[in-house]
Amino acid sequence: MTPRFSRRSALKAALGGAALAGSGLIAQRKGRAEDPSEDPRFLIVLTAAGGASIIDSVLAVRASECPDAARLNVFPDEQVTAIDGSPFRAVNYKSKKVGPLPYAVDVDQAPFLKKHAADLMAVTWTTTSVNHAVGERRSITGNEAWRGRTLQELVAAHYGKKSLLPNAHLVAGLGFNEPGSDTTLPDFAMGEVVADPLLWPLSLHGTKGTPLRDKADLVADARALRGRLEGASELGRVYRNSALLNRWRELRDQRLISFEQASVIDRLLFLPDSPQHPLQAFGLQASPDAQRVRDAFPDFDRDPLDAQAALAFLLLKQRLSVSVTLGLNFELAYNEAAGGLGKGGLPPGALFNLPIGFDFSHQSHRAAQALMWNRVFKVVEGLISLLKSEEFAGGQSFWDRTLLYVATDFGRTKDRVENDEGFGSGHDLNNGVLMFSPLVQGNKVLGGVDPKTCLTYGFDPISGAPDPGRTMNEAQIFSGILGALRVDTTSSGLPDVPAMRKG
Amino acid sequence: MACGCSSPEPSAEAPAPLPTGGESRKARVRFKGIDRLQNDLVQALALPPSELCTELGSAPCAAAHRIALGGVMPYDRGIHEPLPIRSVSSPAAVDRLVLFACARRAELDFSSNPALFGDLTGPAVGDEEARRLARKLHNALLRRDETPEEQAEIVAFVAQQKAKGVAPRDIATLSCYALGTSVEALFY
Repeated sequence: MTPRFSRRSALKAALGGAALAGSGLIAQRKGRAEDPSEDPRFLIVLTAAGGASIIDSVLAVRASECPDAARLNVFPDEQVTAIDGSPFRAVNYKSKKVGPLPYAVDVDQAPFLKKHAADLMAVTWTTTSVNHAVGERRSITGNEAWRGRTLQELVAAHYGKKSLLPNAHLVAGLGFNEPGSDTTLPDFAMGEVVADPLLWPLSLHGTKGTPLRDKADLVADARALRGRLEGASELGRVYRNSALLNRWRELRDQRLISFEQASVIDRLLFLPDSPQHPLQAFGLQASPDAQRVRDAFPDFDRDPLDAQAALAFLLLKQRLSVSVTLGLNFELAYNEAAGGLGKGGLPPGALFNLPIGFDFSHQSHRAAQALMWNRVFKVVEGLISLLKSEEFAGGQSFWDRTLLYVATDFGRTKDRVENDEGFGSGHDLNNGVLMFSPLVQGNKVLGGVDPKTCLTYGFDPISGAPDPGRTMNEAQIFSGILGALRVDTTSSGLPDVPAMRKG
Repeated sequence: MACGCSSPEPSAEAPAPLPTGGESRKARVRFKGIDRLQNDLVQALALPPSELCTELGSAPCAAAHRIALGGVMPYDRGIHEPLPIRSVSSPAAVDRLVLFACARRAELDFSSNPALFGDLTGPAVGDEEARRLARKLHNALLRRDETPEEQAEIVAFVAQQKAKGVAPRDIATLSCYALGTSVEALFY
């Protein structure tokens, strides 16, 4: 994608961006009061529900490296490609089916990894639960490492004070979406659930697209009447002290007005004007970026993940959110229009999300992991592309300030029935996670994999040196992410993990 | 009558003093949620559910804004319980739902046999018609009669809009919207 800002400004950013990015830190060290919302970083949590196994991706092990290759999850050598100039590996996998599903898999991770290795950091860890919901929650709270706040809440609290929707959850119903347990969290930092990214922007305006869309002044009169009627009613008097009613009135009479005045609806709608969605007939217009996001995520009207990614970009670009959570979940998603059901299987590209997501590895580990990792990389590619092409300020792109964390529940078991290529796997605590960002130590694996066992091992949190005698825990990775995002962790008690951040 | 018993010691957690002016001390109310809200509007405005509200001409508001309106989507979104009201999407979705519904009722009333806004469809709309509107709207949307103060507010509103040259059909929609989105219509 062509950058939408000039080469000169990008060069300026390269020279001055680091200084700009560092200025916040220097100010913090000097104890100078500074408003972080003026110098934000952005967090994207991409949920890889079901157990995205790192040894089926960038830390894949070749059979020739493993003394017990027939009984461990290692790949035939020819299926693992080295990425030149990087510690990463790519899996190249083909299969005619995914367990019992007649769907052909043909995945090569190499082109994506070659393109993005410089901004990719793989971090190993050993988690504390093999329960989906618990593992998911711990992956975003660091196992309740900082008063039970989630990464999304902490980023929203730190950078989102002036944002209208600091913490947006575009995927729902997972442990990654649960609110944290800190009751002192500022209200504005709590997550906003978006159930339908295509139509949700409509619910950010009371009248646009309704029969009274051209009569805002009259609606304002009616709203004033509503206020007077409420003041006059018995219910208004009896329930004067209701926190819920007072909250409702605050949202309705103050916050909603800010959203309407800011025309948020026009900045976030990305549906095309069509007979199915006749925007113009209802006095609506799509975002000026709608075509770009639809081009980047062409399955937006069929694949929920594409729709989420399109909206996620717009929320960040419009500076409405500082944290967005999106991702693949446990629901089956496929392109019904492609046909093929009951006729021998879906055509290539038509199966978006396996039923139970990565957890379909129970039935068919290799194929499920290959298909789902491909899905992860595809959406990461689109987001990075868009964010790189969008200037934040002073020649820096939005991507320069973003960390994309591929969060997952846990790892998968490493063993298999001897020489079984279609094996299934269980849940395992041992794994690792990926982060894409210019803010982390790119082109780097922190920790490693023991090819004898396929188990990952840890690293020195200060130097980043691999340490086969150590495993990393959830709190350390949680802290490392916050450090890379330059969230103030003073008095948090979190372990410092400078090895994960750049500079 | 003396009972010979001693008065109890004041406890460390003594109840808060009773409020003056008749306010509820606990003030517990609940949002109706999409299903109750939709059912109430269907009855109040005598509309079939399919005509209540559709976004972009085809997407039922009850589905499009289900979560914002306190509903659940257990099967396709994994949302098994209503979420707490935290954002503007809830009041905005309520505004849209009620505006669509009131506008549809007005459209029907001003084109055929009126069910609710008949008093505004005649050649003259005066205070008497406005008073009858206030009564009908309160009966339909809040299931009670209006108070004199409430009636006066609606009469004044109708007069204000009339003076501005607003069409009676829009006055009907706006009055319905004002009452239909008031907290009394949304919480119980």
